[in-house]
Amino acid sequence: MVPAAPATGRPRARRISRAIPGRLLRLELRRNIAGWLLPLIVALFWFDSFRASLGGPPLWSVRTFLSLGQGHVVIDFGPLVAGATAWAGSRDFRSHTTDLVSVTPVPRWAGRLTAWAATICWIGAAFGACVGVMYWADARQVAWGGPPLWPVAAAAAAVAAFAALGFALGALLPSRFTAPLAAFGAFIALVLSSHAGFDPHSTSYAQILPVNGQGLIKYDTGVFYPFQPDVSIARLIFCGGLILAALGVLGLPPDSGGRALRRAAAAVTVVGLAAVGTAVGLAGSARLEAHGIVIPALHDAASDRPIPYTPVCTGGPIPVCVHPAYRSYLPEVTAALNPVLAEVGGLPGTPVRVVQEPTSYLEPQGAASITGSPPVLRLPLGDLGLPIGGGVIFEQQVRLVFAHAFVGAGLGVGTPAQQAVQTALLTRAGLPLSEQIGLTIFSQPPASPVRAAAQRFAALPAAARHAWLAAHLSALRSGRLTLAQLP
Amino acid sequence: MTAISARPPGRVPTARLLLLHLVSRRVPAAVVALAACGAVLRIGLHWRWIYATGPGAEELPVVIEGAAAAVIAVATASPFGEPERATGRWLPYLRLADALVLTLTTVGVLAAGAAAAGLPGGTLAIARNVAGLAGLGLLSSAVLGGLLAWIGPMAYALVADFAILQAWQTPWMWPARPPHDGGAALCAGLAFAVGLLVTTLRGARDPAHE
Repeated sequence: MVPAAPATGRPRARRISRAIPGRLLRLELRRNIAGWLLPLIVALFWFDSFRASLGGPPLWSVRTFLSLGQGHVVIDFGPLVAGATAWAGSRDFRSHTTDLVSVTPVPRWAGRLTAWAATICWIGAAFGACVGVMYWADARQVAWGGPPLWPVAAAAAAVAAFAALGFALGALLPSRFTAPLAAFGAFIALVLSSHAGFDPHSTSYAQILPVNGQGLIKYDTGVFYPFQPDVSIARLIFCGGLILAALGVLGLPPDSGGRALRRAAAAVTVVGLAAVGTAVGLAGSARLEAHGIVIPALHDAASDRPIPYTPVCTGGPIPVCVHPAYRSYLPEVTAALNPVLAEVGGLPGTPVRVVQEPTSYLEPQGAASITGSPPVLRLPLGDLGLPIGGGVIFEQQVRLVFAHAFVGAGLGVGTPAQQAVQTALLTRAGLPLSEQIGLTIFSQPPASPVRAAAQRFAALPAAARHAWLAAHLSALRSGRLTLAQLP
Repeated sequence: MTAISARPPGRVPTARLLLLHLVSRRVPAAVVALAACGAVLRIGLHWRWIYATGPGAEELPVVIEGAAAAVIAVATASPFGEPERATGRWLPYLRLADALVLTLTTVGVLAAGAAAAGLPGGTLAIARNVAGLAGLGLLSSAVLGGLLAWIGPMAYALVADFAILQAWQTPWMWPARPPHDGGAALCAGLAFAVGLLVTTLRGARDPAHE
C-alpha cells in the first residue's frame, strides 16, 4: 500500500509551478508551426538576402547594406514570422480549448508568453544561422575589417517585434483570417516603409523604420571611421518597445491571470509604449554628419575617431595608395590613372602621389582633389561605382574624377574652359566624349562651344598642348580663363 | 412532417445549399476582408503609396492581390471534415462555386478600388495576377490545408516582389510582366485552372494535428 502524501499543499504547488514552464516550453517547441516554416524562410533568405550580399563588392559596408541596410533580411523573415505567430496565438481558438487552458495552474498570460517564446526560439535560431552563414561566406571574400553587428541586432529585434505583434493579433482577434491578415499586413508595412525610407525627402523620423537604408551606410562606412550605431540603437529601442507593448497587451484580458499579474501586464504595456515614443523622438532628432547619421542623445564620441590602418601602395614614379579594405581595386585604379597621368606628366601641379580619401556623407559624390606641396591626388574611391570584378565604368570614373580635379573644377561642373580642357584630356586618354557623359555628377553634356573648343584642344600636337597647359594651368584652375582664350 | 421531408427524393434546395456552404466557409467575413484589400489599394493610390512608373508601381499592388488570394484560399477550409466529404455529393460543385464567386468578387473589388485612380497595369493586370495567385492559393489549400493556405500566395508574393525589382522576364513571374503579355497570362491562367480543378475534385486538406 502506498502511503498517502502528507497534506502540504503549498510546497507541492510550488514544485509543480517550477516544473511546468520548462515542460510547457518543450511542448510548445515540439508543436510550433515556425519549425515547419523554416525551410521556406531559409529558402527565401538564400534567394534574396544571401545572393544579394554575396553579389556585392568585397566590403563589409556594402555587403551589410545589401542584405540588412535595405531590409532584405527583415522582409524575408518578417511577414512569414508574423503569420506563423498569429497562427500560434490563435491555436486555442482553432482547437476550441480556450476554456480548458484558462483553468490550468499556469496563468493564461504565462502560457501565451511561453508559446511566443517557443516561436522566437525557432525563428531566432534560424535567423542566427542564416546571418551567420551569410557573414561567414562574406568573410571569405572581404579583405579587411569585420561586419557591423548593430544592424544585425536591429534586424533581429524587428523580426521579434513582428513575431510579438502577430502573436498578439492571433491571440486577441482569433479567426481563420487572422494569420494571413498578420502576414500580409506585415508585408504591406514593410513595402511601405521601404518606399518611405528611400524617399530622399523623407524626414529623419523615417529612420526608425527597420528597412530604411537611406543615408545609413556608404561604401566607406566602418572603413575609415567606425560604423555609427545611433540609428540601430534607436531601432532596437523601438522594436523592444513594440515587443513589450504587444506582449503586455496579452496579459490585460480578465482571463489572463490574477489582478497583480494584470497590473504587471499593464505596466509592461506602458513601458513598451513609452519606449516606442522615446525611440521615435530620438529618430526625429537624427542629423547627417560627415561620418554617418548621428543621434545626439545616443552618440558616443569614440565612434568619431578614425580607425588606424596601413595603406597598400604600388611602386613606380607615382605611387598609388589605397586603404587595405580596397586592396583588390588597386590594380584597376593604377591602370585607370596611367593614361591621364601620362597626358599631364611634368606639368606644374601634377600629383606625385595618389591616396584614397574617406568619403563624406555631406559632400557631393565623387569629388577628387589635388592638394599639398608636393601635390597629392586625393581620390574618394568609396563614392565611385565599385565593380565586383573588372569594371570599365569604374576605371572611366577614376579617370574622369582625376581630370576634373586636375583642371580645378572643384565641386561643380567647372567653367566652360575647364570643361573643354577636361573633355580634351579625357579624349586623349582614350575616353571619348560620348562615354564621358553621365559617368559622374560632374560629367554633364557640354554645350556646343565647349564641345568645339575641346575638339580643337584635343587635336593639337601633344607638345603644343603640353606647352599651353604649362603656361596657363594656374589661370585655368583659378577659373579666370575664358573659352575664347583656349588655342 | 417537415418541408424538407416532403420534397421528392434527390432534389435539393440549391440556393439554400449554396448559401449554407458559403456561410460554413466564412465567405461573408472573406468578402469583408476583400473589401478591406480594395480599400487599402484605393488608399495606396490616393496617397501615392503606389508609384506611377518603375518597379515601385507594381510592388504594393501585388502584395494586396496576394492578400486577397490568401483570403480566397483560406475560405476553402471546411469546418466539418470527413463527414461532409462522405455525405455531400454536391460538394465538388459547391467548392467550384465558392472559389469562382470569391475570385470574381476579388477582381471586382480590387478593380473598383483602383477605378479612375490610374493603377499601373489597370484591371487586366489585376485580373491576371489575382487569378494566378488564387490558383496558387487553392493548390496550397489542397496540400497544406485550408487554414494554412495563405502560405502559398505569401511565398509567391515575396518572390514576385524580388522579381519585379530585378525585372525578371520569365512568364511564371506574371506580376513582373506587362499586362498584355500573352505568356504571363497563360501561366497565370494555367495556375488558376489547375488550382480550381484540384479544389473542385479534392477540396482543401482536412486540418491535421499541429
